[in-house]
Amino acid sequence: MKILVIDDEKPTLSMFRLFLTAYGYEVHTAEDGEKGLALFHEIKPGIVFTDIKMPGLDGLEVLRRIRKSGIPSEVIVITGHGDMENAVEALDLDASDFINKPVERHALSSALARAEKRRQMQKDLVFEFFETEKENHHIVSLQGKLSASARPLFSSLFKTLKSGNEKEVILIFNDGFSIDKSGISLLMEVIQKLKQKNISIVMENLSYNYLRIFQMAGMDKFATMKEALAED
Amino acid sequence: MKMFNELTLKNKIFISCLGFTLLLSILIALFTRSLLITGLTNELKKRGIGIAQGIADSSRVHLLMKSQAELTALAYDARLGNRKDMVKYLIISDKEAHILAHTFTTGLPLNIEEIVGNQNIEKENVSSITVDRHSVFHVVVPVEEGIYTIGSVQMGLDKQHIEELIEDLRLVFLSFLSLVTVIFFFLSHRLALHITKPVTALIRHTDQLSEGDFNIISKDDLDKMILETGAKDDELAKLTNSFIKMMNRLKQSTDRLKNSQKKYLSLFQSGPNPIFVVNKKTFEILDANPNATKLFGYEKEEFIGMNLFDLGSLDDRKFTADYPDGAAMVISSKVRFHKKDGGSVFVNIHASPSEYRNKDVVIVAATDISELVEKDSQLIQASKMTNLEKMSAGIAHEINQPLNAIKMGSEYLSMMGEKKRKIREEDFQMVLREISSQVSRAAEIVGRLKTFSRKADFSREVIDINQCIRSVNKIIGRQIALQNIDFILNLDETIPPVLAHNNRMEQVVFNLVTNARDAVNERIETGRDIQRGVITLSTFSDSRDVGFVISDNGTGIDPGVMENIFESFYTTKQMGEGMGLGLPIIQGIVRDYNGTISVSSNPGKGTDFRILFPAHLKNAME
Repeated sequence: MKILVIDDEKPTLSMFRLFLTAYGYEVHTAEDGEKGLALFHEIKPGIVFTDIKMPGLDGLEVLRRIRKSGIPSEVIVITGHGDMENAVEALDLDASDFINKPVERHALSSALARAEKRRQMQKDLVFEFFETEKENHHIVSLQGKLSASARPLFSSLFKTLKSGNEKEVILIFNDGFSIDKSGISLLMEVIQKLKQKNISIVMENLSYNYLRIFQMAGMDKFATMKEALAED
Repeated sequence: MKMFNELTLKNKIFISCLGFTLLLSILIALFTRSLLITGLTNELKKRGIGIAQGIADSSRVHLLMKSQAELTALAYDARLGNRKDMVKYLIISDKEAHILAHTFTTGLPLNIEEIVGNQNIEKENVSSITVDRHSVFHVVVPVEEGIYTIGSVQMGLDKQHIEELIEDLRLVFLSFLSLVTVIFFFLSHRLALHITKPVTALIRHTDQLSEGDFNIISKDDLDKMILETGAKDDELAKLTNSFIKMMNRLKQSTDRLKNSQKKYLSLFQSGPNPIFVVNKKTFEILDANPNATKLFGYEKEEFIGMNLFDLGSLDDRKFTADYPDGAAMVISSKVRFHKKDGGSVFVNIHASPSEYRNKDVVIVAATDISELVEKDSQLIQASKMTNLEKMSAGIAHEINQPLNAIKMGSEYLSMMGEKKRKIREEDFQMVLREISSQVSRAAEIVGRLKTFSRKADFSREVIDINQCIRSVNKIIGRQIALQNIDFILNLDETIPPVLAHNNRMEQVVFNLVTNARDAVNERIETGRDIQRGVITLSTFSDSRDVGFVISDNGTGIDPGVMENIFESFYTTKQMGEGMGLGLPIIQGIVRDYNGTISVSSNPGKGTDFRILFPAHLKNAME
């Protein structure tokens, strides 16, 4: 599969090339946004990595233009370490995922795996959840894009919890799950409400990056988070 | 005349008065004498003529009768009584000059007949002749009968008689003159004494004054002085009063002088600043106050003879320059001076020319401003740190870049190792090379930051402004580029060095560049003008100055606030974004190195900051 890496740092490009070649991709690199976009239109890669901070066209602008072009592609934004503001902004612009610099092997493989899976799935999945009961555990599996439009649906989650018997809710984030800024605050709201009812929450199958975003948002104070295992 | 000039005033007056009196007396005596002698002689002649005429009248009949006995009786009548002293002889002769009667008792003198015969008997006349060794006035009076002259009466008036009279007069005169002289002697002596006594008293008091005994003169002494001089209302009294007034004034001003001397001495001794008295030509220290010894640790004795320039590096040309009238001049500020123990202090040097023990000196005050300099550098440091804080995200990004390459490279190697996959030799080499070079890159960034954030002390070194600009470019050039602002350096590589401090100069450049960046970003964020941001930094030099101009096309500065921008705590930024210390601190640093900063701005179009420093030329060093 073709993969495009856009970054203004030559050493970073070299390392991406090594890694991604080792993973078996056909790697193309560009040193700035303009060149990257031109190359994108030319080769139409399945996955794009783009750095956010670049002179000229920055990563968010590249993302915006890729989405505008309508060419389907998984765009993974590379953000500086701890730079959640840019990461969330990228998610709002419908980035598939983001990855922190310095790039960890684990995060990279996880992001690649998710991207691969999402490519298989139908695009623009509507948010939905499925509930099952199991030994006093209320298991909710989430998929699709959690955003502001999903508020009425997501609020219905509480109707089934009225009985109050449940002691634990397990939220399973499927691979097709994605979230944006308003989705994060919606999720935060739900978790806080559950916590008020003295229900413990477990979040499972979180991607490496979502785990970090949710931690940043402060959800780790209300829920136990479990990361999805990813193979290199 | 010379001798007279050497005399005392008293003797001058005395001798002058006496001399004048004597001269006058002698003149009067001579005049009177000549007047008297003439008068007496004439009177005598008139009297003689009168007697002779009486005899002539009486003798007319007897002469006609030629009765010699009668005539002789008449002749003797003329010598009767006290006339005898005056009339030496009397002769009655006929018109043929025959002597008919005479009063010579011892026979006729030898030449008398000839004398009688030679006289013109027609008219009365007097002639001076000598008869029988006696000087006489020979008086001739004719005896007339009708219109005929029938004979003559000839009479000898004794000159000796007149001379005796004159002799008497002369004696009286001399006695009178002597008396006058004696009186005037005493009078002029008194006069001289009267004039000179108060003068002498004045002299005595003046002598006391000149010996510096101002304080021993009390009010009583002054009263006594008035009394001693006997001053009343005359010129001497006025002189004495003037003198006393003058002395009082003098005493007052001396007192004032003493007080002011005391005051200055106490200022010198206990003033808060170290003060040196320095020879104007050699800069040798002549005196130092206790604070100078305290601050620098030298004893006063050690100071004396030392050269002022041994204490710290000063520019002697400034000391020899013209001083403004009576005012102290700032020679240098923030000069590093060395203490005896090797430590150093920063001082401000003020100098003012003066006189000290008849030498041209410079009073040098060295104000200890070490604390101020320290506070200054703390403030500068704080400002730098604030700036760095603002840049921290950018700096983190920059450090993250090499870290990312290192991380990915090493993770790649470990992944390949774990999976027992073969790494291509060239890839392996590339990764190792890259890791090594990225570690260096990270280390360089850290090193630059460390250097930049290091607290700099106040000192002057020979530095290259271009070098500072390049350092700043290395720290923030990339971040500015990331914000899509062109940072253009136009560096003139031929500019001479300046005397400043690398770190401080970097801070100036850094602050100005970040200000420019903020201005550009503000314009792009707030305006509809999306013209690309450009910051240009150019260096240049002319014969005397080295400088740089930083131009941006940012928001510019509103003319209304232009005059405030160098004021401390003035800021147009929002609360929490800036303290308003950036430009004041830049200005402070620039001034520390004798530079100037100027600004010109076109609101909405951009701003130019122009910094100038005096060039540090090699020939100026020599």
